[in-house]
Amino acid sequence: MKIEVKNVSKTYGKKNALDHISFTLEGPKIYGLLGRNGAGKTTFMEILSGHVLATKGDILIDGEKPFDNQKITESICLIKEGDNFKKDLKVKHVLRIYEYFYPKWDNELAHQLIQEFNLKLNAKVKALSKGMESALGIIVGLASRAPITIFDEPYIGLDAASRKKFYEILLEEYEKEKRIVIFSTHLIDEVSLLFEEVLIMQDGNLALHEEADMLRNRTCSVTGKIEEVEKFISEREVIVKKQLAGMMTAYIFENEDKVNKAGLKAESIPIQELMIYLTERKKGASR
Amino acid sequence: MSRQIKGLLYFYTIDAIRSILIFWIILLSTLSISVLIAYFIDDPEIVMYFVLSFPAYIFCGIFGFLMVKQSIPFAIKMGVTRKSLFISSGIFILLLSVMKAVLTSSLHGLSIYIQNRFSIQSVDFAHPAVMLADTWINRFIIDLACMLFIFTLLYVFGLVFYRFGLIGGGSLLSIILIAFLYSFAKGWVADYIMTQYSTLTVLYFFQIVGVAIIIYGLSWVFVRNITIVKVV
Repeated sequence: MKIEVKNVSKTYGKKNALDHISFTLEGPKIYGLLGRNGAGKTTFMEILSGHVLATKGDILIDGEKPFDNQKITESICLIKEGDNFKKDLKVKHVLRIYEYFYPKWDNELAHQLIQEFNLKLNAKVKALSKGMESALGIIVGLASRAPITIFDEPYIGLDAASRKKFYEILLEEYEKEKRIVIFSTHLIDEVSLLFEEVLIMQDGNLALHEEADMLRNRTCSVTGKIEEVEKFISEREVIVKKQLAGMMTAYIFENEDKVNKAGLKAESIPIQELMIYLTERKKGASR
Repeated sequence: MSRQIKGLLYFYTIDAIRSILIFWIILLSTLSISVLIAYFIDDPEIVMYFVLSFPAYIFCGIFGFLMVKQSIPFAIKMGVTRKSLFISSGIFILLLSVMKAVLTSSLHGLSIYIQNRFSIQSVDFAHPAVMLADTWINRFIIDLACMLFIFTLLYVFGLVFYRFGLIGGGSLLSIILIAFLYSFAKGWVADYIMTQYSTLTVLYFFQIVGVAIIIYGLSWVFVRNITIVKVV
């Protein structure tokens, strides 16, 4: 499937949640949609899912608008960090209801995951703990087998072991049936290896859209004596630099090999760090 | 019937069962206790009056209003189209009204039977159908018409509050209230009631059903572009 985002803006009152963003996503692929709170990630995902309307611009999925379009909405499953399901419903009702709305729904997988995450079919959503409710969201997202599955911070309250289980199942399911998975999370380091492409949003704009491998290859940290590092980075694009006890570490856009050839210590930058500094830098630049 | 409409009807039904059960448990318990008390009092000077349909009308109104806020955002999150939402909400409102009209009309008949069977004098059961003829079918038609009207009206109010917030909903209510008070002051309301009362036939309640259908049709204006964003 192909998602074309064309000059999309969304305003809430005077606040610009999205500010004329344009990009294209083509699947199947796992995308990491990153950014700080209020960057516009959730708004983008809601417009993409047809839950809200853009103020300006269009999102096209295989050439069609998602809003009020059954063909498209049944191809998209958005699981948010909370409030996905009505609290009075039982788990079994949630599964049954979603089965009606997703033609590729995998009931066997849903029940297998219910066992895996130790949920009770007769439990009401309001009786579930935060982690269990997140698990239910994850189960629905995976079992929907929607060609575009979107997880927006899906595992609030889920313990580390369950999160690990989720990543494993997500990869297994992705291998079985490739699709576009858009993953928005603040626990970036945990999932960054899953990402094939990374989008970083900042203040309603797209700050970066890059293949994850390219991003890893194109950026690195340089460590060495202050003068040596300063000299090396003088003609390069610097993301951030830090000094401590006569040593300097700089995050730069450069290949690790070139740094090593210069006799400096090169290390890859975790995507989480990159996101933090890129959004900070962007913020500074816009001031 | 499309999968979405079936799914939404299933969602509405599952979601409504608890409220409906609570309503009937409260109504039946109150009724049973009152009839029991009336049986033991057995004094024609002390009479309790029951209009069993009124609680059902109130239930429909509250349910219609809350249905918008509590169910529509979840329906949209499940990917329902606005057309499916409009059709399935309409079917559900109609089915629930029919079910409640059948139950209230039957319960009224049963209550009168028990009252007569045990010669209970301290309780009486009233119904708007006494203005015509107090038969099961008349009670059913009147209840259905009133419930549909109240249900759809409050559903549309719910939509106005959802789409335009307190300011929008409050403004609409104010306009209706002012119009009502003006009509009341001018004597139009009294004239209308008197005219309808003197010429009342069952046809009038079919007209109310027609008005309810028109009101529901108007809801499309608000449903057409509805999103998960509720205006406060």
